[in-house]
Amino acid sequence: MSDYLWDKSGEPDADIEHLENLLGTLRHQPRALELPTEAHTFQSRRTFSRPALAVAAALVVMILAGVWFGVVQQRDARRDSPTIAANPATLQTTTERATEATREATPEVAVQTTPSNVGTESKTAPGIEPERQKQQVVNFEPNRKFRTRVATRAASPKQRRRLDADGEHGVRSHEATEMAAAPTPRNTRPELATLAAADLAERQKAKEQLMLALRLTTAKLSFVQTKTNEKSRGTGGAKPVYEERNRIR
Amino acid sequence: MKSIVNAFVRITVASLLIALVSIASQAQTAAAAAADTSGKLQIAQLDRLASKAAEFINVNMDERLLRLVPSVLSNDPEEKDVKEVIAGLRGIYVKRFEFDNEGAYGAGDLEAIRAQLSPPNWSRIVEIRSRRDGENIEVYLLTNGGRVDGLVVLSSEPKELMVINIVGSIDLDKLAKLRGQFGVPEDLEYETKPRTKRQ
Repeated sequence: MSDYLWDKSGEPDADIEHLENLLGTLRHQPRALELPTEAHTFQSRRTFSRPALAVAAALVVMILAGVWFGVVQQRDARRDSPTIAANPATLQTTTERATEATREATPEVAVQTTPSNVGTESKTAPGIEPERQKQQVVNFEPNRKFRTRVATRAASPKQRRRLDADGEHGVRSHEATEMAAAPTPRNTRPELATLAAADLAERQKAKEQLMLALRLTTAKLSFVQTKTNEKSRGTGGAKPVYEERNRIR
Repeated sequence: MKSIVNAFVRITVASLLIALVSIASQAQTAAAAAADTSGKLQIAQLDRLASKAAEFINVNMDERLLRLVPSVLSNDPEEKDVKEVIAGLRGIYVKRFEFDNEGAYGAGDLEAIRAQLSPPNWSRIVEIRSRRDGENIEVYLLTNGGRVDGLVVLSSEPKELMVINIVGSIDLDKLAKLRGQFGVPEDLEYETKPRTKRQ
């Protein structure tokens, strides 16, 4: 048997040669691949290249991160500014001490809340002549929360109807709010007095805390001043606080 | 398509990392700058001493509370002075601990505060050390262009620790005018200017 079919050695078989000639036209031809025209047109239609897409995505992510950071900072700033730092226990201690400390310096304060003077709280010290009492009228400015509550709760139904009617005739909403907050005997209720008293109490506590802090500070600075004066007289020691401040100026 | 997704993921992760590092460094810088120039010290860590203290005074007055005070101050000369003193302030913070025994607080407690009072913003203008009484007082000022923007008094005794932190524009002359009020003895030499008699 011939090995021609196996390794092309030996006598070639005529049939095999014929088949080789027939199929030889289909054998591999080493040449560049010719892509169809549609493929070229498809590539050229792409709007964005890969790097451009990637850069755009990165930019979007960075912008989002920046926006998020800004929002977080704003929220933190908002949270930091209007906080009340005093805890009740501390405040109580502080209040008691400050009250003792400032009792001699400031007259006792009594809050008189009557239907006619809710809007302007008057602080009256016993034993002070009427002229002086006039000077002690505190300009109480209700905050926004207070005004809103006044507008929504304190106005009587009749007053609300009047406000609504005024609103239809061109009165602005903030004017209506101010009208609702105006201290008239009709809109005076116990909750108003409670609110005003709570606000005033907060202010009084703040004052007591301040007085205590100032008392401690001035006492300590006085002591420092005395000590430094003693030293500067004797041994030329440290300069007094106020002289040093003047030097800095 | 797969390579596009891979490239997208890589670049996104890299961008996120860069953004995170940038945000962290920005936040750190902002916090450090705020601590340095605002004049407000971090003294909340001292609160743990309150449990050991026989007496603890804690005054925390931020700007909002300070703005409440003038409305309840009268026109008396004394309270008028207080109004003037607090006009430029943004906060007053005082912590005072009185202990029954010595050694209730450590040097580390003081060092944590001194570390925040570093130059060039802060300058220590007075230091009093008394070996006899064991009393140490340090006064620091935060100055910005010749203006006093913060004051810290650090006072430590064997059985007492007090930190006073006043934040904001301080007029020490006006503060000095408060002498003789609120229990402060008037006979202490306190002012540099001659005292004028009040009307």
